[in-house]
Amino acid sequence: MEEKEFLKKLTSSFSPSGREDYLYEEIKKVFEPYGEVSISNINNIYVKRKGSGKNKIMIMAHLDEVALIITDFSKDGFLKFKGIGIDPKTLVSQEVIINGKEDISGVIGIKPPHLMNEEEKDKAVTFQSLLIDTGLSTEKVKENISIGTFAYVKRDFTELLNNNVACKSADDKAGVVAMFSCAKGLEGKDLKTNVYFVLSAQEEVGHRGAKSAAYEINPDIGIAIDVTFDSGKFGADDRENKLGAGPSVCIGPNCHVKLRKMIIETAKECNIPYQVEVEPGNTGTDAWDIQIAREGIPTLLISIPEKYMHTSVEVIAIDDIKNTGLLLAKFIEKLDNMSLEEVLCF
Amino acid sequence: MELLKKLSDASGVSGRETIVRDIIIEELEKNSIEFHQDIMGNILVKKGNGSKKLMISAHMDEVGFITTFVDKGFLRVSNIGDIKTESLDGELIKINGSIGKIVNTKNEDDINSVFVDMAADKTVNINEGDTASFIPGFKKEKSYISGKALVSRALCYILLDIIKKSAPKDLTVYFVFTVQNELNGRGARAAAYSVNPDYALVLEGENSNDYPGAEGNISLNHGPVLRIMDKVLIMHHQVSEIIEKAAEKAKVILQKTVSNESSEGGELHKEVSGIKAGVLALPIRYKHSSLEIIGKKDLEDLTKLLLNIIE
Amino acid sequence: MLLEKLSNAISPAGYEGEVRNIIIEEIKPYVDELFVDRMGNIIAHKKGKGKRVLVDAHMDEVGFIIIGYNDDGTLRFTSLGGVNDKIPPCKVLYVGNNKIKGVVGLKPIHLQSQEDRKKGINYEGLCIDIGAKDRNEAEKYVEIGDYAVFDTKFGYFGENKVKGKALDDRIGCFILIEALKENYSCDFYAAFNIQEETGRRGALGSSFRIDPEIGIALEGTVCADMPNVPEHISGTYLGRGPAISIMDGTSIYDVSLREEIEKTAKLSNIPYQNRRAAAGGNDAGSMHGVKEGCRVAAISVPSRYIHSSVSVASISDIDNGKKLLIKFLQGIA
Repeated sequence: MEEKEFLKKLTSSFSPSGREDYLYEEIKKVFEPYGEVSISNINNIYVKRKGSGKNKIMIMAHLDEVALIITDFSKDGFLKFKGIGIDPKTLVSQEVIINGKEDISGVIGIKPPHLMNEEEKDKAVTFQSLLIDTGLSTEKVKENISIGTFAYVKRDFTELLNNNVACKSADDKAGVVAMFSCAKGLEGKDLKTNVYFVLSAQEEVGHRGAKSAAYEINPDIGIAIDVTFDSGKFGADDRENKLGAGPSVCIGPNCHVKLRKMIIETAKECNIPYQVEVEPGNTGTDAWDIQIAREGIPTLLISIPEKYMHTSVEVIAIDDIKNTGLLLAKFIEKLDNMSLEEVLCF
Repeated sequence: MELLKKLSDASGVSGRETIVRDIIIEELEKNSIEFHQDIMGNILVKKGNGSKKLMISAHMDEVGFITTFVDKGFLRVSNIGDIKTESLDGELIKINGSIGKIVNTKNEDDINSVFVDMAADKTVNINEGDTASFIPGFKKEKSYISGKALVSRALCYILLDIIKKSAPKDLTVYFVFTVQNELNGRGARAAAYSVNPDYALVLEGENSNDYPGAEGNISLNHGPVLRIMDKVLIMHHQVSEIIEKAAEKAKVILQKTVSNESSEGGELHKEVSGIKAGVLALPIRYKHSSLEIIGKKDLEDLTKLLLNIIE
Repeated sequence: MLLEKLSNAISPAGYEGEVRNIIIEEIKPYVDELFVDRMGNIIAHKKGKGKRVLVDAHMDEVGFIIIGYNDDGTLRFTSLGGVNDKIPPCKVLYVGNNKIKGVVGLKPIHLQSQEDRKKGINYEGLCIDIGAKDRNEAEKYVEIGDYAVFDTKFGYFGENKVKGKALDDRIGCFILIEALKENYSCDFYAAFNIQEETGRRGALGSSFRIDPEIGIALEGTVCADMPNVPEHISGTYLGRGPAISIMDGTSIYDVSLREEIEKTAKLSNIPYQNRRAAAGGNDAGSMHGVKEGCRVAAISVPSRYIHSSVSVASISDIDNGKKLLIKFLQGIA
């Protein structure tokens, strides 16, 4: 399966934080040819690619996405809700799907501007001022939906120019696709290293799955794949990431210095485009929790640049996803031929 | 109810749970129940012999204050746990047996503008590091119970009750009275690491909104609260299934909420290989204030529900 | 399904071609005269000996127009017809005749300061991203002045409702098309007008030409009956029937016409309501604003969230709106 197709499949399905198990069967089908697939207590999914030796490398991308959650019922089938990690400004005038016993369509709309007072016109909307319209009666709604039901913005996978795509939940399903790409890249190779691909749970609510996954697997090296901000008009101005210029390697205390230098070398040797970004502290990703699991794990963070993070129109370059997978595969192969003791000692 | 009054009136802020722990230990020993105290100060009671492990925790500690500076008859304090500093002016606290009055000169959310007036020339008995809690005030009505620290002590009371009444068959149940819940659930995390349970139920208090001006959908005496998620824990879907099934059997009506609060489940569920956990809460008005109010029926329903879950 | 076709068609103010073609095909077999005037309005005539009546619906929808390029390959744009600035973010748009896909993005929540989070949005701060590398590439695909519309697809919604873009005023067009399929004794003119959303301008030309005695505007109208809006400013309710206007920003409606429409509704057992808002405007303003003027009325179908990417209307309201118009016209001698 091609990367774009897999990304389309993944982003068209729904896996809110806590319910990564919704996609377990799908993930199992896709990753089974590359390793043994299992799921943990709190829905981390492990794909174990056995090697002939003892060393363990763990690659992690999170499977959960930001979502909306129903918090109460209002009159006439309208629902109160809130978003986790979502800016309410992105939700005005959107169609949503409510993931109840059945999928129910909803619309988030606002009152027309001539009914707004001056303050409302100038200020941003808040979750308190938004409602989901289901067009059903409240009794009918309650047959299918309860407090705690999740919902998401209905968004078709949209192809733009230059093999860029716009979709929901590219954070971090693009990372999952990059992992898949890496697994494909290692196919048929005889490695001593045991490679664990982990699709982690609950990253969006505080990278909660990473700690127990790292504990359970106890790898020698942990590499997190997530998305990062581009540096355009709507991006971060403290870095220089560009869509299409390749995976961005993180430099900072969360990332093992020697390993980071080695992966950059690998990129140069194999002619894989790459970028760098600096994070002086908490990277806000699974890498932060991986690094301090058990006795501490040498960690790397590789990020795929993305525009408009946490909206339903996240824009990402398919080529960057492929190159991330390629870089990881080449890096794993390189490490396989080295003595980890040498690499990791201080 | 005598036991609940004793528990509520006792002083035991996070890190200084001794008196409360002693009351619980006394109760356990009176009923010949074996227990274990770990290095953090948690009390663990194990019952049953099944292959699956369930941990149920209730915390012993309450919010309060710790003395940082003594200036003749006035004390400066820091808060232990989450307390609304803006509304402290005029509250009474008890420290080392004496009663003092909190004064918040600026009515701001700044603990440094707060001091305690001990109404004494020199404050003999009090040193830096001594802790204070709100004054006891237990009261029982027909449908409501009010007092300080009910958010922890009522849950300990329920836990003691079900320890006595339960008889787990194919299940090993660890009943844990935890310390330092109000400081990010430190006791619970340590207990979870050593017990390594398959499922964990964290007992908490959920702010109810059934008084004038409050917004929300939780009321007293309307049933225990199933917390779908809070700031630090998303209830595992298997745990919510277990709770809902038991509620049906026990004929207990649940309230559900997406909460803005925190719990000791946060650190707990990320321990070891990950633990399937969830928060079951008692509705409570004015949580973490000098006087909290709970519903009697809720106490009974939560007890009934927990017993049903254990079976 | 005709309403679906109309709603999905792309015809923002000034570029009404697609809808115009659909309508012409539909009404051809039912009218005596049919032509398109120099502005682009469709004027249809069913000859009759009675009073000269003009019924109007507008073909255009609100949308956006491209005003320039940014160096990074994104497009600068603004509203075409009134789209409030809270609406464009995080939408997929079709740009220009080639339907180039673009998205309107927003700065990620992580990068917004506390102040940013509370601030509103304006068009200067937004852009359409088509994935182009730079200005040069963008210029190859999109021209300045190209229009852009929402990619919303029409569909059934909830119970007895529909959702889609441009219900204002494709519902009006739909009702007028259906009305043309019946017969009347009055001298019936139907005008499908252009550019209502940019100032009710197509209607000026067609009303001048037709010079009616009675003018009726058909609209999809404001309906803010959501629980978080105080009832007294909701305007209309969904599901309580077509709304008969009392007054709005461009007309104060003829009392006797209103009463006759109400009478018709009561006699034919058609549910109806009043349009309680005094704000907004429609083509009736143009109808009485040319030559010697005329008596005007407006019949609208309540549509939640008009002028946004997706509106909601009640199927029975649309049906009853159609019935009411037809019965009323049939009662005009």
